[in-house]
Amino acid sequence: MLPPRLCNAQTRVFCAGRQSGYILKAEQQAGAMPGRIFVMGHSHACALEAAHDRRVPGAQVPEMRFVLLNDSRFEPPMAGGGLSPALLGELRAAAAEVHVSMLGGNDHSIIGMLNHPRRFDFVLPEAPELPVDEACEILPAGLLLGELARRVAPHLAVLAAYRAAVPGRLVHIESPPPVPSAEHIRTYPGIFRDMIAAYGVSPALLRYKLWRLHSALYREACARLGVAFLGVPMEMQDAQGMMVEAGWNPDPTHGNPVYGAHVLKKLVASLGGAAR
Amino acid sequence: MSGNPYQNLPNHAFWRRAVAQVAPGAVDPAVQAPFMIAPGDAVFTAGSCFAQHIGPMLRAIQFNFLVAETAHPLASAELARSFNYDVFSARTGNIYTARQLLQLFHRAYGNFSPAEDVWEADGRFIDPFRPQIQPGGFLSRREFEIDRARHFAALRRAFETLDVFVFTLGLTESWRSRADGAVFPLCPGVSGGTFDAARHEFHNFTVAEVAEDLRGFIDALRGVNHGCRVILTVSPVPLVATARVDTHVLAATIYSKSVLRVAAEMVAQGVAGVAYFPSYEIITGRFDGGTYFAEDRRSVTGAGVAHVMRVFARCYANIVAAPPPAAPPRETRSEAYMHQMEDLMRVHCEEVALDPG
Repeated sequence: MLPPRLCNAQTRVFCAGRQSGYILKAEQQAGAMPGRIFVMGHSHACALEAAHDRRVPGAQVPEMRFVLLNDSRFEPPMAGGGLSPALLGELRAAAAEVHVSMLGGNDHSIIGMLNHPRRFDFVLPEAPELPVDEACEILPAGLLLGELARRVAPHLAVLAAYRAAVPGRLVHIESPPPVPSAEHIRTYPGIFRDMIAAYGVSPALLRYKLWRLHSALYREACARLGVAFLGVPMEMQDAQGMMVEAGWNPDPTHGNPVYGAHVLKKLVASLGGAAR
Repeated sequence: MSGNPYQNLPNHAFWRRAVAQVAPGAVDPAVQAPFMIAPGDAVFTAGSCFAQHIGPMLRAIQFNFLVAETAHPLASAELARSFNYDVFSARTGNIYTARQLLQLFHRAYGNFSPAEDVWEADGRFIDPFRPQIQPGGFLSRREFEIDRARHFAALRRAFETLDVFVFTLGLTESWRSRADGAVFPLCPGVSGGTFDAARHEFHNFTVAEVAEDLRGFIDALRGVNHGCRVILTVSPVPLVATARVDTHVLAATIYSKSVLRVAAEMVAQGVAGVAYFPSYEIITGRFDGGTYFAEDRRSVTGAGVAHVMRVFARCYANIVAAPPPAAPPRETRSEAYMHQMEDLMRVHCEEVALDPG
């Protein structure tokens, strides 16, 4: 079991920085800093947290507190239809003015990061003109949406409970787009080394399309729940919509602190001065 | 002393010996099949809603149920079924009429292209000939076109390789296009599309038309698969509704089923290699005390389906013992792959959370 981890970003630094500071310096000039921010999510929150922790000393950045549900202390996250007492305790302790969700975010990768033994592709409903590999089975997009919906349902249940537990503004941050480079994934396979050797990395376009389906489910849930949906910063996406190289973490699926810094910048900009 | 023609008839010819004095579960009206089904024979099923029971039945008695469009293992069994995988041998949806079956064959081979071939509403695309094939329809025109092309390709492969085609006739009442006679499984407007009396008309097929369509289909099928055998059945499931305003739904049901039953008999008697299987009689015969219909007096109960299965297995494969319980399914390579990916992704995310750098 992994050791418990709850970090107050103001006091702990977890990531070795590369170049996130310049982004936060820009915030210093922008003024209109939002109030205390509470972030609840899974591993994609680490990029944001690392960016926050690596701010330039003296820079004006929002005070943030991160709770990662990968931490076994927060398992299970729900109790009696609402958030667990442990999470409610964290929320009370944080006394935040703005709440952020980075719940879930890798279920599309379970389905499509590697070549499935029965290779498949599909027509993305929102961009049907994108190429489709007709050498594969072509699955109904609705079928994949149904399967993804089943997988993200526990995260969306937590999001709904989070929404019910906090007043005011709640923002969900979209999970990062896929890394287009199969070479990068092969170079930093982490725990997937053997699986990659056995099955190979799936085509970038398939991974991109699955990510879009995944995001559509979150976007729809956010609209239903009254949660603001914050998309990926445009500058972090290449012409095809995938993650630019500057944002790649040395692993197959996550963004790095640079990516996190751009997300943080967009988050702060979206909050404007309203949070304070 | 001269006898009479009934004197030497077998027991099954007499109601008292074959029905009245037989335990309900042992009534077997199939008598003698004109051909048998060997264990390796590929059996394809299509037809109206009762035909949905045929595939599982074939599997249960360990026949080779031909599935031309299989569900991708990513989808759970429930999700796959909602997309009409593993319901029939292909994702045909319900084929209620013989004309619809005949037209499907010609569409699969590019010999008939209905003018009204897609319905669009709110960015969703409905196949007029499979309007309930997946929840919400197709999510883009391109997806619809790709899926239909692959469906036709799968049907062609199946038609050309099947050994036995089992078709369950469901209805005589239909709605068709005035432009080209294309028969819709459901009235336009019921599950997609818009009803327009200028473009759509009601038609109640006659015995002669049903028999002719069945012969036409069998001829076409044997044009691509010379030796195939055909089993016809009639669905015992009553009509949901009749479009005949002057006729009670019960009377319309009995009429419709009677037409289908007569047409099936005509074809089975007149075309070699075609059999009629009496699932209709087993379910509607009332010898069971009415237990083969559920409370809605329409749905067939599991006991009824099981009786049909027993008779079918005895008739076509000489299987008289209860089929052995199905072995628990072994984890497939795809399932093992998904379980491994789920476990690894969880650990991967935990590791990043623990040590992001």
